[in-house]
Amino acid sequence: MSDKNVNILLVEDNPHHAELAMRALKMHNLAEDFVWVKNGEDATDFIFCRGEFASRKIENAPKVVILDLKLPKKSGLQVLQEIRADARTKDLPVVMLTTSREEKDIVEGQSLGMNGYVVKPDDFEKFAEAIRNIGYYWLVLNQLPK
Amino acid sequence: MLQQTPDLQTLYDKLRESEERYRRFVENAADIIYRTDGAGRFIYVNPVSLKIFGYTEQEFLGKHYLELFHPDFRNKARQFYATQFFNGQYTSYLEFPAIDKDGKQFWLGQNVQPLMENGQIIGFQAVARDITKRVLAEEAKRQSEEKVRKLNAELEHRVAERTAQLENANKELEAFSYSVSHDLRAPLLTINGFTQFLAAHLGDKLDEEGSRLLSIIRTNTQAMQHLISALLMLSKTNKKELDVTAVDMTALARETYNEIATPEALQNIEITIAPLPETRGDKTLLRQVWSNLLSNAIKFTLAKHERSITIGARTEENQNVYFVKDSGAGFDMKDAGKLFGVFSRLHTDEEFEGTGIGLSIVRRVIHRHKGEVWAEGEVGKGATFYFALPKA
Repeated sequence: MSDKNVNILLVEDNPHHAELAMRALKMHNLAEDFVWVKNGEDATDFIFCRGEFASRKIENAPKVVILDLKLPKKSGLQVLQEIRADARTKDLPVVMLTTSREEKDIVEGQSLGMNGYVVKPDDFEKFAEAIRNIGYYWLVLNQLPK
Repeated sequence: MLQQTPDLQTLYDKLRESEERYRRFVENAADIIYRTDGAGRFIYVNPVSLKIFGYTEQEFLGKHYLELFHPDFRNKARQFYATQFFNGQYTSYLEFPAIDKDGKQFWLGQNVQPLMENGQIIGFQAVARDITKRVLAEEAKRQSEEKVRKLNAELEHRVAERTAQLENANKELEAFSYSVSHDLRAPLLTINGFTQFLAAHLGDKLDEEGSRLLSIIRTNTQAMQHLISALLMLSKTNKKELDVTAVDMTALARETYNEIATPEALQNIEITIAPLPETRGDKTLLRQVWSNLLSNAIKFTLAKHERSITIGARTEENQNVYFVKDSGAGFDMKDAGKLFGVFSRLHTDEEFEGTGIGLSIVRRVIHRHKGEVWAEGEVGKGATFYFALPKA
């Protein structure tokens, strides 16, 4: 993996949902520099430049991480916890993606410092809109000061 | 002087007479009466004793008193009498199991007194009575009490077991609804999204039949979406803790109607909302009640020529009764019992769309508020759905 700028890191174990998200972003021209990883382990490797992603520089953090809550190996909440525990990444914007409104997960995510959450609607149009909003907000409206 | 001294013969006769009276009294007594020597061996037994124990007088006399006791009780009796007389209690009462000549057991209650001469115990005399009936009755009572205690304990155990089972079932149900929300919705989103891309991708290449097939897929995906959402809502109605506040029902009903009414409904249905009494309850859940009742009313009314919905209420002694009355398709009163069950539907999808869960959500919410729901209707002439909430 080359050490290029990344806009969006999508952590999603369902490849079809990942593709839908990518297509939704593409529809709104937000899919540039988009990276998809399939599990929590790969997500932390990517963010902390380890393993497969050892050649990356941690300063080139993604502008937003879209993090599925239910992930194999390492859960979304664990990934969030690691991001917040490290001084270099503690301010990284993380939006959780969940299939339910299970309150305890959301409350825990909030206490761990997530920047927002989106309940995956079962309707694709709403899903596309939610993804577009995340991209638009974090990539366009809410640029962190350089 | 001599003449004044009673005649010895007279004295003797009087004594004999008194003894005779005493003997007749003892011999005709219904109770067992006996005497033993200082060692506890029988030296006199009355006829009732012979009858009760089945021994001849010859067999009886000379026996040791403990021989009349049930073998299991002999040690206890020995100890009892030793303690009694050691402590100087010269009258004692004891109940014990006795055995007759044939070994048959029965119960006696016995009073014993020592016979004294010159400060020495020279024997004992006793009166005893058959108390078998009373003892057996007491034993039966004790046994039945014991049985009741056992049954109670068993019942408590069973209640605890059932409660555990119920808790388990509830947990399973929660796990199920979690699975419904996560695992069933995920593929739905995929089907939904990709059908849309397929339609966009193929565009003009789709012929009429292709478009029709795609639209069937989409309609059914949507139906499944509604079903899953409704199921989730139903499980949430059970789990959610009630957040009770004062609720302005007039405002809530109006807001909800305006929120859910389609433009078609707003244009074509004549809606009347009478002032409704305020209540105390969980506003979110009560909104769901209005939403489900009103969307039903709209659905069934739009299909008719005469289109009106009336929201009203009446105040009773202990409760407020709210109602939604429509001029819609109505229902047969014989089906009134089925209305509020999960997945229970009175109409086919071709007639009216629906998940069959809406009214069961209404019922659960109202039950959780300690209220009641019911409905009245007539085929073709509309329906009225009532819910009563206790006054705060």
